[in-house]
Amino acid sequence: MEIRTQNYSIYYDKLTETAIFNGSLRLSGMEEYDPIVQLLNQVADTQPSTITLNLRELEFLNSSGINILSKFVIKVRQIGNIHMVVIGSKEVPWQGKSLKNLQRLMPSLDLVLE
Amino acid sequence: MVKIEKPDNSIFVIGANIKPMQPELSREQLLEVIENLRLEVDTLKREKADLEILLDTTTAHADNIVEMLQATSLQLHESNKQLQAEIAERQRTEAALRASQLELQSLLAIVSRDKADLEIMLETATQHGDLIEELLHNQCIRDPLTGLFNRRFLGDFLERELNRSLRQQQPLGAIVFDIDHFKRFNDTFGHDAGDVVLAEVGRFLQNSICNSDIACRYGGEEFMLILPETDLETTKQRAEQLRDGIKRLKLEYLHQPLGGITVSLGVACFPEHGSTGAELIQVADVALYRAKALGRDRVVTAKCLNDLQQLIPSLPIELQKKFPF
Repeated sequence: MEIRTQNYSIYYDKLTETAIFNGSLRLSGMEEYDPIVQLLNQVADTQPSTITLNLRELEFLNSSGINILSKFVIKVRQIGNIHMVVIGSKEVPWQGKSLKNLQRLMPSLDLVLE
Repeated sequence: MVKIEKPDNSIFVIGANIKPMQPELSREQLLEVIENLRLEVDTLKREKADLEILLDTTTAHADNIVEMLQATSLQLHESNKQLQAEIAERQRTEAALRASQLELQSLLAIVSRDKADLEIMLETATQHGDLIEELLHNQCIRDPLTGLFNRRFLGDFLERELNRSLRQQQPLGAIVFDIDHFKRFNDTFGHDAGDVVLAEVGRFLQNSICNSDIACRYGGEEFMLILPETDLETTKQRAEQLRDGIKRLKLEYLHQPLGGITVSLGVACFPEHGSTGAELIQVADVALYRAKALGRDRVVTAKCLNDLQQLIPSLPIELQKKFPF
């Protein structure tokens, strides 16, 4: 599963159960985020033992983007038996603060800031 | 004992428990006995009649009571049936209420969790939005290479600070400097090395300024500092400190030493050298030009421009016209 555009790409590696985000996500509103939501939901619906979101290379994420990540974390929490890992980078200014809030939605979420 | 014959020939024995009379009773005595016996019979008859009335009354009363008891018993039975029906209905209602309560509690737990999730999401989105706005704002007002403020921000800041200085009758210092022979440096080591130098100078400036001061990258290798509430003498001292500090920077690129750099600095001060931002910057720029002309690696204040006018015949004509000190 992959979405690739001029500004960003999202690739799900089934082997490592990891969704890798790259570039800048600055789509306008939830409608434009729908393809990404679909991709993430497809991943969750297969109920893997672990879902890892690798956001290290995601340089920019707007407010709608953080909303879809929050909703996805809630969805995974509600499914109940999936271990979730979010990998971020201390070098990307928004990641340190915003990603920590995802742990409040799912306390068992592992947040790795490299 | 007296035997009395009745018309239907039945025989009553009266006074059977009366002691036998003496045979020698006279006729009068017998009549008296008979009279007594008649009285006794009458009394017995009345008592019997009374007893029969009493029996009738008691029986009727008892019948009434029995009837009442039966009616009451029937009523009680009916009431009991009704109460049992009500109890069963109430138990059903209670069971339904308990089920509804459990359902509501479950619903409440879901709604509470959803509410908590939404609150966290809202807080996350708001904080993220603020952070992104801050980053974008910084991108608007800062130079990405050095992290210093950019020229646009400097213009706005300088106008605000000059107005404040005017109101509060406070001086304001301005330092403009650029890196000596930067083009030659770029040509020798490459533009990436040049960027490293610019970034290092930016870092040094950030660490050197006080709270109310601002440092900005004014152009390519040109920098500017605005020092509110600082007079000419102090501004000049700060300029000398910068010159000395930058000269001591240990610069390297890809682990290779780049050698030292020097800077030339021009200093001007409000109100003596200009009353607007543009004037102040232009005067400081002329002082910088003079510092370059005098051999670089030095500080020149606007105060010296009159004297230096004589010494620097190479001062461009357009600058001489603009700033006829």
